[in-house]
Amino acid sequence: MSDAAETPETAQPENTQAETAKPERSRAAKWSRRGFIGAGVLAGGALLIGVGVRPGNPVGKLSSLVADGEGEQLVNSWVKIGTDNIVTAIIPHCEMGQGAHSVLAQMLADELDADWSMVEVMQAPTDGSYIVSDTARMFVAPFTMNAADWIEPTWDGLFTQIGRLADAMITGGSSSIRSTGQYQMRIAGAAARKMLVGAAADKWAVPAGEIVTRDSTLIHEASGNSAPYSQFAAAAAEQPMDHSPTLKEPKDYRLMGKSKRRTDIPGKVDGTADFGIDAKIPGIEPSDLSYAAVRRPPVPGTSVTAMDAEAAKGMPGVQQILNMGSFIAVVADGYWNASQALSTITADYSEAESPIKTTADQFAAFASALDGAGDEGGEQAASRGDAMSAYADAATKLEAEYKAPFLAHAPMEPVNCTAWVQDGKCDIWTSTQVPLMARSAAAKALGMDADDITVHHPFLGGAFGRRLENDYVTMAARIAKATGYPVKMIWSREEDTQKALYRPADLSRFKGGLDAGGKLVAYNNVFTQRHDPAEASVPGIYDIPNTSVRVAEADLHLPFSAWRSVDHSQQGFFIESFIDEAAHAAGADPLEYRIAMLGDNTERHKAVLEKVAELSNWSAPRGEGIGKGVAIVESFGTVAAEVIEVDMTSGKPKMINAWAVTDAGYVMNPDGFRNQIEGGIVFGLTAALYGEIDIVDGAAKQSNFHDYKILRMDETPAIEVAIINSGTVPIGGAGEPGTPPAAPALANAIFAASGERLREMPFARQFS
Amino acid sequence: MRILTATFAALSALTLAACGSDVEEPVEQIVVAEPGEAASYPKPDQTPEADTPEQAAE
Repeated sequence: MSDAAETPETAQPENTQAETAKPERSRAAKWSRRGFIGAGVLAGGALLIGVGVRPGNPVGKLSSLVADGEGEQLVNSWVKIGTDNIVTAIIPHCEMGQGAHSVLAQMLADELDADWSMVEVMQAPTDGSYIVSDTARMFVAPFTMNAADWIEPTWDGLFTQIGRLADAMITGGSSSIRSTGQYQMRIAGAAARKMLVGAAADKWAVPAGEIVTRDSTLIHEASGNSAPYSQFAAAAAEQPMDHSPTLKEPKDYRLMGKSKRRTDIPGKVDGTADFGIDAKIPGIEPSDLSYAAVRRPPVPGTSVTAMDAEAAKGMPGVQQILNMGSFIAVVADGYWNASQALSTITADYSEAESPIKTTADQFAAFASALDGAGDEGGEQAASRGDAMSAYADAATKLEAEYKAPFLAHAPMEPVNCTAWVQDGKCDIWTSTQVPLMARSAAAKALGMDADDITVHHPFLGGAFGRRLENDYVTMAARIAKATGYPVKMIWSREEDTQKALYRPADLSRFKGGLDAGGKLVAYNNVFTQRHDPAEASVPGIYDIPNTSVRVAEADLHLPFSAWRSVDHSQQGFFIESFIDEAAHAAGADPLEYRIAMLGDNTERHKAVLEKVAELSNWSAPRGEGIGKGVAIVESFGTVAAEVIEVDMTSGKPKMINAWAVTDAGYVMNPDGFRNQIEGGIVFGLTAALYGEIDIVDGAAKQSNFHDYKILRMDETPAIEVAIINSGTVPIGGAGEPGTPPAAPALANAIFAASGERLREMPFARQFS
Repeated sequence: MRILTATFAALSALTLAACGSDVEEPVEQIVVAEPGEAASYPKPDQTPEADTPEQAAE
């Protein structure tokens, strides 16, 4: 395995980095992002460092939120050092199982030279001071990320304001490590370390450059002085701040690049971790809390026109029954009683305006849009050469149409939200990827000022994009306002599967032409759904001289929501299946064909393909009915190539092995990264084999895990993930890139094993 | 990254729109009981019935 990042955890060299000379930067450190740093002293001498201190920060309010001990003073903070020498990293991103809390703390602690065993993590509160402006900036204007010093304050200020306006406290886009980690946590850690060194140098009357730091300790060997960070925390706060501290080079990393333990795991193992659904309301005994079960109209865009709740009124535990127009809620003394009463309620709903009643109607609408666009209509997404002329002249012509279904997110933790409206204030407890946006959504639903709303957001039991939405937050807020007392609203699995938001279905048509040598020289593609990222539909890694990619937009009957890897989840299947078809039409090995087709600036892609060929023993002979398929997709800054091995001897696909090779530039925590890639593969294979939300009578059909199946352990292939650290800047994400190659790799493997080309997901029902 | 761009734009609009409101009052509200008046499931100080013979044996 190519995993240069992993070295024994016992290797802990001292950081002897000179304070005055900035080392030559490696590729991985070739950026000079300036951080705006503030520091303050907490009562008792604790040091607090923050990146992002700007005029107008609500310092007093933040103090009560993150440092509410008696007499504590807060300036602003991503990190505080306590008098007990505990380093606390205050993390603005949510923890939904992806491990971001731990890795972000790891990055900060490494630059700080902190003792990892004495590092703690604190979830940042829902406050505008904890927006992740660098995430917004990285996506909206990546060209500003390495701005010159003179313009940096302008960009920083602009995106701070944009971030605040947009409530950009968001966890998504596989962005936490590569934005907040790189541009905020590391700077905060390095700045704090430099201030501590400065304070010690003054006290000991020695040159700062002679002081080394190790395991949260300052050491001056020549004089024999040493002290824990806590001893100089107060004095450090008085030191001048370097807004652009020198960051470590990879050779000096002690925590970054290592598989350090995750801080969230112990609580999840022993059951003490709190998720949104575990919300405990101050002053309310859990047994006295009220619960709401809800039902929305089955067809999107419709409302409740009449409700018969006579039977529900007499059901045990029922407290209130609400017809909110857009949904029905039963509030009771427990969730079970609420859901049982809800099941007795009958209702009438308004007529749907959408003409789409079935899945066939939806795909007919897609086909109509594509028919209307023809070969050269629609909106151009990418163009090079003259695709249709080259197609006309091609020696070999290919045509293919691919289909992808609607998909639900199905996070394990049911959708839930607890709300309490009282005395002109509102408290919200929920699992959310966007706590500030949840606050604004609740404010709008309640007609209140956002400053009067507090959103508490503990761990998320999965999300996959579902919790970027705030539909459930507004519902809970409205229920709580109507009742006047705290209510924990929990959606049933059926409610979330049938009445949520979905990965869109899509239809994609291709025409391709090969020259006499088998090279793909014409590529014409038109599809109906383009959401994000825009480049997902472009086969940009391949050198195809005549390319036309267009979108002929068609309305969706079921509402859209970002789903793990967003457009890459469909486009990866479409593009990498079609490239595979071209390879077979050319009589070429699919993996070698891809390498031969790579265009400019694809050294990383070539490397991952070659590595996955080696890892999977690609060239070895395969038995009868055994096939291997390959796919490569670059998404969220990470290049991922996957090979799936499938056994078709029973007539149905049985996955045996999966190999993935990734290049994310530099992996900060290899174990956590592999975990994410493995999870992404299982997520992608689940969708490929089983994932499907049908439309029947205008409503989503599937309801629970019996008919919306998740890959079982005994169906899951053995997965091996290899990491290439190419040192690319900027680094890539981890949460999503494992998903897009999985479906096409499986489809291509099934073709290799059986000769049957699958152009429609899900696959399993095509073999039953 | 259209989605993030669109998200930020849309949510900026949401934030601005929040200056107004999107309040929906209940179309129908049936109050059956106040919290504490209608408790009907076992409270922590009440022992639920055993689900299985094994549990009963314990």
